[in-house]
Amino acid sequence: MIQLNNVSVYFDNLFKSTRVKALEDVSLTINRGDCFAMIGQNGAGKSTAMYCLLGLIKPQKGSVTIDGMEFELGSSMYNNIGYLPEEPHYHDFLTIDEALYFYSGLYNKTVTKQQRDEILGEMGLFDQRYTRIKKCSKGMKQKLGIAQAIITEPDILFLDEPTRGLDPIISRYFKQRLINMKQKGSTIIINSHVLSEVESLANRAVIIDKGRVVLQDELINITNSGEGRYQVEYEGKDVKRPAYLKNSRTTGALVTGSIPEDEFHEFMMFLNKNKLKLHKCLLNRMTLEDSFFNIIKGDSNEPSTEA
Amino acid sequence: MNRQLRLNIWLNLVYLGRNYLIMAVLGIMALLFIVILSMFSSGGRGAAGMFIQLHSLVSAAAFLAAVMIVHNPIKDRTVKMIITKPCLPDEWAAASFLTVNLISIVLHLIILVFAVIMFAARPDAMGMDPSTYIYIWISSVMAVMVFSSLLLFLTFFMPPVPAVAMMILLNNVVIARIMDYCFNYTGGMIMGIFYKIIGAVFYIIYLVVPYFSMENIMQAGQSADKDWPHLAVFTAYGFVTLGFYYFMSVYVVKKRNLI
Repeated sequence: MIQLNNVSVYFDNLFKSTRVKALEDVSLTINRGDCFAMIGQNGAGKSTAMYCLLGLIKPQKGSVTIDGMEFELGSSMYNNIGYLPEEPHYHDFLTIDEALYFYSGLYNKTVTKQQRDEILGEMGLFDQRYTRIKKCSKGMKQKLGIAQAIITEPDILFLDEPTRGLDPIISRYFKQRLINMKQKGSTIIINSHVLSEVESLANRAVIIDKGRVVLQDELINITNSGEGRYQVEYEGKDVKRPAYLKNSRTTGALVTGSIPEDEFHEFMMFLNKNKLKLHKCLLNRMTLEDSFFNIIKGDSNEPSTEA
Repeated sequence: MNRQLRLNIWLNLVYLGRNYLIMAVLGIMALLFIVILSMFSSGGRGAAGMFIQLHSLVSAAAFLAAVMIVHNPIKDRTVKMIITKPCLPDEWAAASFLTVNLISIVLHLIILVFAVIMFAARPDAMGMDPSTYIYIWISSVMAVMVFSSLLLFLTFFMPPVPAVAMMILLNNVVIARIMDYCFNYTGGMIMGIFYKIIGAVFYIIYLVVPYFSMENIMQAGQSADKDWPHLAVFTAYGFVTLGFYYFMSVYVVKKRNLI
């Protein structure tokens, strides 16, 4: 279990005259095997939270633990951790193959040349393996980042904006690879703005806003936090419409409108009772994006800074 | 040697090997070798000066490596990719110190081998006896070790230009003058105490900051009475300084923000 316990992080300027709040009293719990998503606006504190989880930032208040132990940078705990950074901070004087050799070599696991070649092939980088990173495109660097993060099949994987700059083919492959890793029991922590991607991968999520946790729950509970509605279309313009039918309008003999998900049974009874013919019935559920907007909506636009 | 240390040294060497400045210094060294060879073949004498220049170039190469090897990974944030893997900041820092000293020792050894060949072929043309050269060689190795350690330490928290500027300002002559002024202040009692405190602070800096002058080393080596016990103390001081600045660097790298 990975935990952030009442963590507060502030960034001071050189003379400590101004202090910017990055995280305030944030507590997160990530269970083993979770695919945990961190969602929020730019500057909400997602990356800072990830840096805390990775041990790159020591919080001024609170603690970060993995299975009850505190993080120590570079310790053997990292043998089971893979990390894809948001920005491609790679040693750009190396070739792609050399970089993969170096990054995978730092783990106390044996990674053979064949394994390197395989993952480079899967990422579509095999033909460019002797290209220096400084000459690579943004997408190629992102593919290299993914390759170095997953080559040792770590138990815990930190992904900061993983599909940024990826082409759709590799993006789909990578998503499938993550699903496979999750099925094998890996813990995946994703920081992403692409909510559809998060929705298809994560089982738990946290919404962070202005350095605070707004909501932390199972993803299914977050997306169901607003009820779904049925879009209906039936024949019966002369019959009195039920009160729960909203946004109704009449087009010829047809009545269209929307009903709440939990009134569906009542609506079917109404149709039966009045012997009305149903033409269309579509369930519109809340997406994560809808839920995110609903949750964030109403908050003030006070700026906060993220590292 | 553990895997992480070995890989970081490899990384540093690849980085330096693909660096044009380092390559330029090594190129000048190669040219000097050719000049020395031509001097010998034409029967010239007094190649000692050329060897001294070779040692200066080795020092320059090592200092250049020290200036670049740490600052760039911190500036480019590539160190983040290393310490979020099972590689301790201690190992990363150790690799930097070892790389610089490895470069220095290898280049010094090349010069030594070259000198040995020269001594064997034309001992009269060298302009000095072998023991003098050995004295100079050991002094040079230790001086580079001491000086590059301080330079490396400074680059852990400041860019190369201020680091080099500080190295120039923080030399023993300047510090000795400040100490001299502070300890011999004859004004009022309160100001006197103040100056004594400042003097004490600079005395601590004086003890910590290494002294480096290739010219002085050469002079000492070429003098009739080579001070071998002093060289032994200097060698011990070199290792202590290396250890001191290494631990200070590890402390800095653990404290500073590397994101």
